[in-house]
Amino acid sequence: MREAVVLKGSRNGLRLVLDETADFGLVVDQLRTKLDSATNFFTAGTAVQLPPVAMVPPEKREELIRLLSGYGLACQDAVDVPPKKPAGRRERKQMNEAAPIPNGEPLLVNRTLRGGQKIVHSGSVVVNGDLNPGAAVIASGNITIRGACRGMAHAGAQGDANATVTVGRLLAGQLRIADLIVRAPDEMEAPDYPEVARIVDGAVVIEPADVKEGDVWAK
Amino acid sequence: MGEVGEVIVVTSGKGGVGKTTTTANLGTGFALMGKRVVLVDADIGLRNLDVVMGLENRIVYDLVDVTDGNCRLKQALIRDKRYETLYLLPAAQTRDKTAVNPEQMEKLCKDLAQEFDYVLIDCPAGIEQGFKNAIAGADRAVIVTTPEVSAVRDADRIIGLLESEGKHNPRLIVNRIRPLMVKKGDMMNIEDIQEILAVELIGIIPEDEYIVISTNRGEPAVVNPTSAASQAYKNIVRRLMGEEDLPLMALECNDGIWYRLKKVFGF
Repeated sequence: MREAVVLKGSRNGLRLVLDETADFGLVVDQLRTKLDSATNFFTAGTAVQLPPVAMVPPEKREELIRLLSGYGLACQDAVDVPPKKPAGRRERKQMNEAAPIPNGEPLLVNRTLRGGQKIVHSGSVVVNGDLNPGAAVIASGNITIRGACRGMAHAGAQGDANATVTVGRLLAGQLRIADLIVRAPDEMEAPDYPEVARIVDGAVVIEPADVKEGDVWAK
Repeated sequence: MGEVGEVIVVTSGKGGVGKTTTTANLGTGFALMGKRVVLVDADIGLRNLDVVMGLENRIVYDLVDVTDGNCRLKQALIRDKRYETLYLLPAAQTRDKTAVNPEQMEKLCKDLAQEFDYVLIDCPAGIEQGFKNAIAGADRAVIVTTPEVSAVRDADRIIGLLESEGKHNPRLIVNRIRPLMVKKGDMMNIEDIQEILAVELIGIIPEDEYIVISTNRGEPAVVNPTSAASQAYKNIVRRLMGEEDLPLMALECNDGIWYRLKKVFGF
């Protein structure tokens, strides 16, 4: 039997590739069989990028999203990122960053990540919500958490020492950038302003983020 | 048969936060309001709900007997000794969580929802098979947590797992609050908990010694009007029945001499 659907691992995480000529019912059946046979392989919250809208009409897309989310896979996240945008210029501006975004599209996560949920992405990640204790974001690029960060954020996970972590409220006990791991002091004041962490001279430095009028942080 | 009932799972992740007590009291509360309600003990192998309800000695068949086809569903249902509209489907004690699967539980819940207004499922602690079974047939979820960091952590994880199963908007019960300790700043307050969990609160249960007594007696505390937890449970029942705008009780520091005197004289 020819494979009508393939889950491809790429630099940008998992990508769903469909055979355009195959019957959609067959695609769904094969996808279900695949997911059933590998339930333990996919961690809940793993992001899957869907094929572009041109290939899959909205109602079929809905069905795919429903099916994938039934297995704990988050696909709406990848959908939020238009597939063919020049290196996510909008996100870069939003993150208030001069540094170019390394390979891979930025991933926009429009929800709070709860304990046990983990997002691994090669590229930058923007979380429109909190990062709760026990949740993790591992990105080869920059990380932006617009809410409170109590979980683990690892920016530049593939060694990019220029990566930054920008956080609405930094309450995490630990932060990782490239191959550096820093631990918060045991007695920590809880800040209520956005902060950015970056590596300066081989040490992680955390300072208030540069907030401008009309910025994402200004509510 | 008229309308189909609602299936509500009571879950928490962490053990010992009061899932079984909450299930027993909410179920009894629904019965007090005249609703037909069945409590399902999904904690196969560690059954407790029957003891809390004081119905242990009436068990003939259990949940696994039903899913295995050893008996009809109605044969396994035990009617409560106090309320005619309240039933219990006990868990099997000699089996474990693998004795049923989510599909069987889903069917069971569907069947029960045909007969009852409310189906309350007492979920086991943990996130493994037992949890998956318990939530399979649920229309909505009630999360029980206590004002402890560990319980809140686990509740957060559970909310995430429920979301990935397509069960959104769970409601939160904060159990065993001690107003005096909160006031002194020694205990997490409701705002702290809600800031992390960010789900809608449906009730706060104050710490109440009477719960221990009632559990040992096999008589849910909600029945006893002098119990501090009783009113809180009754309010949650009303909110679950649709009275969403019922205000939360103000937490009082009930340790004063007058309060104690009042309690002694019962007015």
